[in-house]
Formats: sequence, C-alpha cells, structure tokens
Amino acid sequence: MKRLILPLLLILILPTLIMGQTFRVMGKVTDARGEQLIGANVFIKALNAGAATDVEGKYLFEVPRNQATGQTVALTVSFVGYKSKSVNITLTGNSISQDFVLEEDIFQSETVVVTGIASKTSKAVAEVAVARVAAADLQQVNAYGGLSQMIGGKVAGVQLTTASGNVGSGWRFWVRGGGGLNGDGQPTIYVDGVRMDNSEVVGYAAGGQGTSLLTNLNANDIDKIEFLKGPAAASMYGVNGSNGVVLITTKAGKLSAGLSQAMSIDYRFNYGYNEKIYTYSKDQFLSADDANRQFRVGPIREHFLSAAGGNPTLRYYTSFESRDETGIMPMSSQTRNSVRLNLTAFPTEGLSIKVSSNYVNNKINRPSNDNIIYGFIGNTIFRAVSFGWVKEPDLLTIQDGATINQFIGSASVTYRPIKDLEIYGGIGVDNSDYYQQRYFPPGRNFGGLIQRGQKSVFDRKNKQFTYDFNASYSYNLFDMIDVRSTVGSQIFDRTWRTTFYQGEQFNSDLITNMGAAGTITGYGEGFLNEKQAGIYTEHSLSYLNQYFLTLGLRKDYASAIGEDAPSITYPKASFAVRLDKYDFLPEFVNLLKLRVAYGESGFLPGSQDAIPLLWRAETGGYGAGAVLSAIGNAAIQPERIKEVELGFDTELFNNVSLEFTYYIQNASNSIVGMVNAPSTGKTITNQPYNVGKLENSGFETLLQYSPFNSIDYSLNLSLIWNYQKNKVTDMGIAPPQYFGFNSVQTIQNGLPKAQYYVQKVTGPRYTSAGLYDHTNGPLKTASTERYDFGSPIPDNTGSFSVNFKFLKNFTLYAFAEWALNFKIYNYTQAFAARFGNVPEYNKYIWILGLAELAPGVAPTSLPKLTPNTAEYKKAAEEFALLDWRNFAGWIEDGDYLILREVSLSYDFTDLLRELDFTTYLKGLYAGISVRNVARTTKYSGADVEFNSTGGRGNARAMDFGTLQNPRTVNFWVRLGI
Amino acid sequence: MKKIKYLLLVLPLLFFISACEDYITDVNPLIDVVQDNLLTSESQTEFVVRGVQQRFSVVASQIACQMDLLSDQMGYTSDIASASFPTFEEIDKGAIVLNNATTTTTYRQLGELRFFADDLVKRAGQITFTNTALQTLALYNGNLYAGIARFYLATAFGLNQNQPGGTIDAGPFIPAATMLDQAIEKYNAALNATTDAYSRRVVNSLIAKAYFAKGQYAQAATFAANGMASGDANFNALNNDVSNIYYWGFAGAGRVQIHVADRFNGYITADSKETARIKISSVKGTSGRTYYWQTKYPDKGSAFVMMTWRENNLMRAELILRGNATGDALALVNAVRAASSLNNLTTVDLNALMVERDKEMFCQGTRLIDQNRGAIPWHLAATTWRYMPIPQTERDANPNLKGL
Repeated sequence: MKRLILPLLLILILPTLIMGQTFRVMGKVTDARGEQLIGANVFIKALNAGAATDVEGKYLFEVPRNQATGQTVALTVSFVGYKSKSVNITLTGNSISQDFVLEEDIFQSETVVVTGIASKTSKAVAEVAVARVAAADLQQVNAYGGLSQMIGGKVAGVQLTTASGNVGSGWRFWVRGGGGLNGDGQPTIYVDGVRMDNSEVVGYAAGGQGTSLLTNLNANDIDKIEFLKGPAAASMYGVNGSNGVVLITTKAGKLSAGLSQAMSIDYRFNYGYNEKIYTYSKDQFLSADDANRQFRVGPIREHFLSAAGGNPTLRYYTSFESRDETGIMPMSSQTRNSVRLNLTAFPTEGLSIKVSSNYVNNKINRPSNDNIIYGFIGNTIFRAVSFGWVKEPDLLTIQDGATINQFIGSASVTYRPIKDLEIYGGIGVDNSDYYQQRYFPPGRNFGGLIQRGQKSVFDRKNKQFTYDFNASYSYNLFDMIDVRSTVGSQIFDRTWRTTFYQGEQFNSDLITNMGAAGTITGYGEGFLNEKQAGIYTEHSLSYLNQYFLTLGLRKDYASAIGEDAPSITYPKASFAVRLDKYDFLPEFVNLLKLRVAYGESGFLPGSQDAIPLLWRAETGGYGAGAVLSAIGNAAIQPERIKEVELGFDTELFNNVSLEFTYYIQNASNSIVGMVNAPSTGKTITNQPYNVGKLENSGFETLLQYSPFNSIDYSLNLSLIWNYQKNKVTDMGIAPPQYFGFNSVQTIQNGLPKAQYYVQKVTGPRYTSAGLYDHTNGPLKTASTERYDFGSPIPDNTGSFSVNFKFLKNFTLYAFAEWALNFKIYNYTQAFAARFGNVPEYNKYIWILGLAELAPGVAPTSLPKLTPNTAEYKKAAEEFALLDWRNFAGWIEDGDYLILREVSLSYDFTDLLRELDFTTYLKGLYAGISVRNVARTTKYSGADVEFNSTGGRGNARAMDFGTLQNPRTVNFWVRLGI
Repeated sequence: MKKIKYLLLVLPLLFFISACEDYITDVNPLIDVVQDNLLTSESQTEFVVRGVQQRFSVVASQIACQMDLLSDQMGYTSDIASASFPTFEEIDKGAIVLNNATTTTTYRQLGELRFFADDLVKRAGQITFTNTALQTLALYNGNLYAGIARFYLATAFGLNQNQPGGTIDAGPFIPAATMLDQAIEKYNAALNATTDAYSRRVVNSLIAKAYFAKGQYAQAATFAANGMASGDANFNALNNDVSNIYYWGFAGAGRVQIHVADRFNGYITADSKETARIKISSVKGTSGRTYYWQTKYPDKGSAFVMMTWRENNLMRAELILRGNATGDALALVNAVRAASSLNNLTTVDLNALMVERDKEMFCQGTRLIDQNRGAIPWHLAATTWRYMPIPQTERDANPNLKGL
C-alpha cells in the first residue's frame, strides 16, 4: 500500500509544482433560483483543467499561462440533477471570470444512462426503457442497510422480495414477467464492470434461508443503479441478459474545490434499531406469547467515512464502513467492515484509466428457523406447548456464523487513439470466501440426533473474472446520418470450490476444533470451473438527432463438459423518434419520444446438462461407491427469449414526466427440468429438456410530477405502476411439475409459473358412527383433478414516493409500495393447527367430538354437537375446509400496502454559513429514517414477502416458520469536512 | 483512413470468433463426478458394486421401518414431544396421501436401488473380465440387489389400498405376484453367479422369503431347506456414522418419532429374558402416557438386519406346521429361542409361531408382510392402505399409470 501512496501523492501535487506562472479561471454556479450549487464540476476539457465549486458555489482554478495562446475553448459545468452547460472562452493569459446559472434536470432526461453493453445515452434519446436509481441522492435523505433496500420498489417493472428477516438474508428479483423457464430468474449483476456472484449461499442449512453475497455491498458507496430489464435492452449481454442486467456504479472521485484542492471528507454516523413489525395473536396461536417473547430490539450502529477529491489528472474516492447490526431474533447479527478505493486517471489526452477496488469482511450470524426443529419460530408456533423439540436455553447455545471475505476489483482503460475511435478494455474480479461454522455444544440437549455436540464447517471459495473488450468507431454516412459501430467481446471465467465436514461427540466444550470431534459424520468437496464467451457487434444510427436506430448481433459460447460447446446467436433492433422535434405538437410538450425495441436472449444449458448420467462417490458402511449425481440430456439446446418493447417518454409543462412501456416476451426451447418417474431410478436431479414455451407480457409506468420548486419549498411526486402476467404455453413431453410444501405449486401448460394448483375439498368424510373422519380427512377431488388457486406473484405492483422540501432546509421523504392479486401459502398456521395450536381448529375438533386429537387444548366449555344432526353436519362442512389437508384452505390473499420508508432530514449548511463555520465544516445534515413503517394486508401471517424455501428455487410465497422482515429505525448525522 | 477503421473493427471480431470455442472448452476437469461410460470397466467394478450396496443400506432400513410403522408393530403420535412428521401419522393410520413426502422419497430411492443393481448387471455383461472374482462380485451383487429391490416393490408398495406391486422404469404396473417372480428370477441369477456356500444360503433364504410373501409355501420349502443355517452371520445392510440407519434417526436414539407397540413391553414383562432380542426403552408423552421405542439399533451406524438363520428356521417351522415340509417345527423354534438364551417352548402352533416371528423379527420389516399374507389379522379399517402408495410423482411421470 505504501508503494502506492507516494506515486499517487506525486500525481496529485505535480500539476501545482510545474505550473509556475498561471492565470485564474473563476466564477460562481447557481441554479435558476439563485441558490449556490456546491460540488459542481467546472472544467476546460481541452486543457485537462478544472475544479469543483465550494460551499459558496464558487469555483477557482489556475491554468499555466504558457497554455494560453489566444485560442477559444469550452468551459463546461456539470452537476448531478442539472443540465450541463458550456460557454466558449478565449484564453489570452488573463484571468477569466465566468458565472453559470444551471437549469434543473428535474426528470433526469439529460442524464446519461446505460442503454446497452457498450452504449450510453440520455433518456431523451434512448431507444429502450431506461431505469435508474439515483442511489447517491437517496442517501441524502435516508439510511439504507444494503443494496436490496435501495432497489425494492424503486424501478418500474422490477420487484424485489427478501426471503426472510434474518440479517443478510437472501433475496429475489422478479423482473417484468420473470424471464424464461430456465435458471433462477435472476438478473446478472455488475458492479463497476465486475460480474458479481449473486448466489444465495446456504451451507449447512438454517431452515430454508441462505445468505446473499450481495449483502456485502456497502450501500453508502453506491452512486447509481441502472437496469436493462429484458432482452430488448440487454440482448447484447447475450446469455447473461435474459433476466435483465443490473449495473451498479460506485462513487468516483471528483474535482476538489479551490486552489488548495483539499479533499472532501464525508462522515456519516448512523444509530438505529430493528424491531418486529408483526405480533402473533393468541386468536391465531395458543402459544403466541412464547413466540412474541423471542423477539427483541436489535441495535444498529454504523460509521461511514469517505474522502474524495482530485484534479483533472487524477481523481480518487475512498471509503471505510463499519456496520454492526443485530436482528430481531437471538443469534441474528452482522458485523461488516468495508474499505474501498476508486481511482480515475486521465494521464494523457484521450486516455482514461479507472480502478475500482473493494474489500469486505462480513460476519453474519443467523438463527435457525423455517423447516427445522432447531428454530425459534418452529419451537414456539408449531405446537401448543413451546420448546417441545428443543428447550429454550439449549436453543440459545446454537451458534451459526459465517465469515465472508470478499474482494471486488476492476480496472479499465478507455483510449481514443484517433478522434472517432474509442477502445475499451476492462478486467474485473470477484473473489470471495464464505466460511461457515455451525456448532451445537456438548452437554446440551438437542434431541438424540445430535449427540455430545456437533460441529459443521462449510467453506465456499468463489473466484470469477470478467473480461470486457470493445471498440467503437463513430462516422457519418451520406453526410447526414451519424453512426457509431461497436464490436466487442465479453468473457466470464468462474471457479467455484466447496469443502464441508461435520463432526460429533465432543467430550469437552472447551475445545471446539474439528480435531476434538469423536467421530466424523459427514464430509465432501465440490468443484466447478465454467467459462462463457460472447462476441457482439452493434451499430447505432442517428438522423437529425431525431430518429435513432440500433442494430446488433451477439454470439455466445459456454463451456460444456463432455460435449461440444453450445453456442447461440441473438439479434436486436431498436428505434426511437423524437416527436417533440416536429412543429405540430403544442409548446407544453417538452419531450415526446416513441420507441420500439426487439431483442433476443436466453439461458444456455448448464455445463454438465448435456451429459446423460454423472456418478459421484457416496460413502457408508460399504466404503465409497458410485451413486448417481446428475441426469442430463445429450440433445439439450440453448433457450431463446424474444422480447418486443414499445413505449413512450414524455415531459409536459416542465413539471410532469410520464414513461410508459409495454412489453411482450416469448420464451421457446426453454429448458424444463423434467422429473423422471421414480421407477426409472434416474431422479437424483431433474432431467433437462427443451420443451418449455412461455409468454410474458405487461406494462410499466413511471409518472413524476413536480408541482412547485422554489428555494424554500419543492415537491416531487413519483408513481410507479406495473402490471405483469405470464403463462406457460407448452410443456412438450414434460409432465406438470409440482413443488413447494405439499406440492401446491406447479409449472404446467396454461398456467402462470408457480401457480397454486391443488385439489378441492368436496365435503367432509364421515365414519360409520357419523363422526367427522379425521383419520382419512375430507373428501377431495381426484389427484389428477386440480384447480387454480391463484399466483404467488402479484400481477399489479407499484410504489408512490413523495419528496417534500420545506422551510428550505427540511426534507420529508416517504415511499410506499403495494402489490395486488397474489397468494401466500400459510403453512405455518396449517401445521400449527394440526398440532393443536390454533384455537379455531381446536374448537371444531372439540364440538365435532374429536377431542382426543387436541389433548389439553380443546375448549371443553363449548357444547359438543351430536353426530348425524344438521348442526353437526354444518360444522363438519366448515371444518372440512379448515382441515389441514385442504391445502387450498390455507392459501390466503397476500395483497399489501407498505409504507416502506419515511424520513425527515434537516440541512444545517445555511446555519454553518451564518455562523461562519464553513471553514471547519462544509456541511451538516441530520435525519431520522424509518423502514417498514406500517403495513396493511389481507394476509393473516407474519410477513407478505418472505419465502421459507429461500430466494431461489421454484417455490415462492411459502410461509413456514420464517422470520418476518423487521421495522428499522435509523437516526443519522452526516458531516461534510 | 476508412479502410483502417473497418480493419480495426473487423480484426478483433475475427480473432474472437476463432478463439471463443477453444477458450471456453479449456476448463479444469471435475473432481467430484464421473461420466457414465467411464464406469464400465473392470477397474471400476468394485466401486460400482459398493454404490449398489450403499443404496441398499440407505433403502433397506428406511423401507423396513416404514413397513413396521404401517403394520401393527410400530406407531406414531404427536404426544411424543420429538415427533413432528405428519407423514408418519398418515402411514401409521394407513391414511396415506399419494404425495406423502416420506413414502415418495422411499419409492424414489428404491427406484434408484433397482436401477443401480440392474445397471451393474448390464455393465458386467459389457466388460471383458480378466479377474473372474470381480465378475462374480458384480453378477452376484447386481442380481442379489435387483432381487431385493423387486421384493420391496412387491411387498411395501401398492397401486391401491389392497393392490400391492410396483413399477419399473416407468413401465406398466406390475402386480406383487409378478414382481416377486421377477425377484426370484434375479435371486436365481445371483445363485448361479456364486459358488460361495454362505452367499448361496442367504439367497436361498431370500427366495423362500419371497415365496412366503406370495403365499406359495410349497415352493418355499426347498429354498428354506437350503437357506441360512444356525451359526450363519446375519445378512445385514451396513451403515456407519456418515450414512445412518433409519431406525436410529426416526424411531430410536436419534429421535423418537415412531414408537413400538406396547405389547413388546408386555413380552418383556411376561419373560424378562426377552430383552435379549426385544430391546426397547421408554419415553413419557406430553399427556404423561408411556411409550416404548426400539434400541435394537442403538447407534447411527448400527447394521440393519435383513435376513437371519433364525428367520429361516421360523420359515421352515411354519412350512412344517402348514404341511408344506417335514421335520420338527418345535425344535427349529427352540433353536431360535436358545440363541437368545430363552427357555424352550413345549408346543408350537401357527399362532405361537407368529408370536415368535413378532419377537424375533422385531424391527426388521417383516410384520407387514405377515399381515398382508394373512398370517396376522389386519389391524386397521378395511379401507386403509395395506401398502405404501405408489406416489403421485410416479403417477404423474409414468404414462402407463394414467387413469389408474
């Protein structure tokens, strides 16, 4: 590190040393209301000279006098949220004073956004729906614990659900109609050009919940998050683009203000807590008090320090974060330390170099829950007598901790050897080690399965490299069409290795290493090396800055074991026209652009999918022997998803913005994991087949309104409304697939993905004595006669946000999300009912004369009904629907409205100015932020977003002893130095 | 200049097209799996045989325990605090839904055993062996376990409540009688593959057992006569600390979810020497009631007992009592009892013999077969499942079962 510091310092001070005789360029930058803009970049690109504005909105930089030859150059000012402005100045060697008044870019239509793998443009001319989360702006008014909190509900067409309330829990994207049938439906995520490991790591299971590796990202470092939502926009990402692409950019260095070029230091302190949002009721569970008692208020403490600065030659951004967060359950916590250094260098004209590096050490403890007898929720909710499986003091001794060390780094070079040619090369690495230890100490009673303690160690090392190369040439056709042609390639190389072992019979709790285990009860090792390579070419044409057309083609290859490498070619085409450039539109239409885009993408088969049978070693009483490991299909082909996207973007009256996009996706050749008949013996994995066809369609809308905007008061309103539907249209030879608890969800012809599809109860069954036949359960339709009971995925989703600035320095921010028309399987309560913990269920048990099924918990004060009477039969009819075997009876509406974020913040900078304190403190901000403030829902269970089987896999909206997401309150202070 | 720019654009493209395919196929080899064809080799034979045996050890105690649960030998109640599997309750009551997760898993793993064993025989036929011992190892074990898999398909599973049998390779439903014939055919192939006297006695006992399950006692006689003899080691499914016996984890020291019928405690109360072969412990239910659970398999690595010379003796005694064989039934029974230091019986009839079988083959999965061959009355309502159902997964994926 020391070796690096000296050259960096030299680069920083070098320009000052060599300047000698100079002249000054200075001025002030304000907005249209006269408010000074702090931190705007003012620069002369031709001379690589510039500075940022200070706390007064003033800028000042010096230029060597020998560089002034009477030439005219552009002096440009740029600032986030404002339209850039340039004026021509003539350099004579005398000082120049130039003030700027910037126009606010309220709806960010001029902001450059990513629109493809090698294309960036503004929303005003983009041919595809652009989506951007201005993360840095959000941090000004709110506190975010992680990436997922920053994305959820903020992008039209993108849903995000967290699998549980565990700190560091996994989460799942649902982008538009959910992509094809292959893979896990998750978008590919890049951070500063590094393709991230977006896995949910489970290791030794703590119920169904895994840990998302993306939880390592420090939200404070994120500058912006951009989305390419479907193949129409992301087809040039090829096989990585079928479920969309998320591009995360971390903060970059910026020009320092003033001649001293002092660094800008930002310190943020955040103190808060997590608490439960949902309280179990005794009307629902007899043991509700025991369950509620498990929850606690979990403190949060975060320090975040960043420093940024630089000159036109080198800019830097560095940060350090220390975050301690405790969850709402015992044994749930996270300690994350993150350090980042980002550098941008412009050593010579036409050459820029970017380096991004981030190291994270994250320690996550998670409590057991979900489908496991060592869970707090299961032990208190599933049965009327709490802690029947494991006693509370013993549960509290279980330790399940993961230490994650992750380095994410990238380096890229952009070079313009000649005016119109730009060459880009980048390399990125995501290197992580996930080391989990789960420990049941000896001397405790965890039931007989764990004798004299148990220790499990799981180590997962993942290393993935991303290589990008592209070259773009801009030229003119027929003297009127501007063309930019790009060729490029993208390579991905991943090596993944796991080791795990488990030991038992520890005779002492003083020594806990595996060497102290009396016996080893499990061990293994996994390894995978996979590569993908894609080449692409893209050509963008622009005519009169009014008509825009892009054509592209991508060819992808992926490694396959034992077979030829599969490859596939995906095309794209998109077109946009700016109607507001025509005269026929009224004045109040500031922007009206129509766009249409077509693109193809899809998943490639897995690297081992084409091998018919793979065998592995399994050990037991006979030593190691060959057992099946995977079932493949030699004829497997890549999937193809075609997407058409139509939409418009408009801005009216300078204060209304509306974006609308309709999309339709058709997936074909989707790979369905077919469940072979068990009698074939080839069932260890599903067998991949190219048989699926799927249709997705929907629309997404973003409406923004800014009714007033003055120095003292401004109001920005934003409304997102999404609608999606999807349907499997062809399963080919594959039979319907069923999954989830009690196989209540399906993938099959004519139904949306993961639809609830179960038998109906037709009435009670009676014993010969006329009693309700609880042994055999209610009468149901045949197992082949199932009915549609709705979707676990909402068809309507949306959000509404208000950003109200008042009394100049106060900002009130509120953000609400909703989802409609979806169902949740309340298996928690169904299971508890069966074990006598649900009063309503017990009531029927008693009045129907089945008291022996609920010993000690039946409401014996109620009168029993007489079998064969009308009254008895009526109660039996009702109970048949409540019977836990009527799976449909426990599938509930999940519609919800959540007041997701509310924050109130105050900007003390004016006060600092008045006190003449800005020499010491450039900015002071404080606020309170609350997440998951309130929720209204039709669902009776603990949460509407979690999923007991985690953030991957087919099953969704499974409520089975899963920990609810918490309410989080944060008090924060931010200092600018 | 224009030429240069096009060259600049096209050159990298050409380079990558030619390089991509080579690049992505150059990956490190897998270390944890092997392709199927590489196992068809003499050098891999033992590895494949051990795999079949490993699957047998996973399946055997699992099926036997669930068969015992369905029979009148074991039970399930949520009154026992550590019991939490609703699927066990269904099996215990014979009210089993087709997608019962427990029986679904068992059928799947039994399907694997059947496939692994048949696959081993097939591979052995494709290999030119230089070492005949390896060939014998493959053919004997392949056919033996192919027979055992079919035996369990016939005796543990059914299409309907009273229609035993199973399916093979997504084919049509095979009724139990036909399936048992197939099992016997495989056992005979195993007999032909080995000259080892002990191995042949084991197979003869298994053939006799299969005929018992068919109710064809006359055919069983010869094989029982040539079956396991006093002093023969048990034919077991081996387990260890990594791959555990099912009884331990679900009906024993690991976790008591399944308990044994109270009568086993009664047997001990009547004759304390019975503890030599009826090993039980007790646990209080939430209600205060006492339940008994097996300790015959005390450790996770305990071997599961599939066939013994004592069972063979009892088969031979039964054949004598049924008039299908000649000999001294009482002596055969008393030899079994003596092995556990129990006093001799003075008389024996079929009823007494069934009690002996109940005690001797405690937790060996034979009780359900005895009930279903009519030797012991069925203990549940007539409409209940007397076999575990062929699961919904098979019915969904096997076109031959559509509409059945």
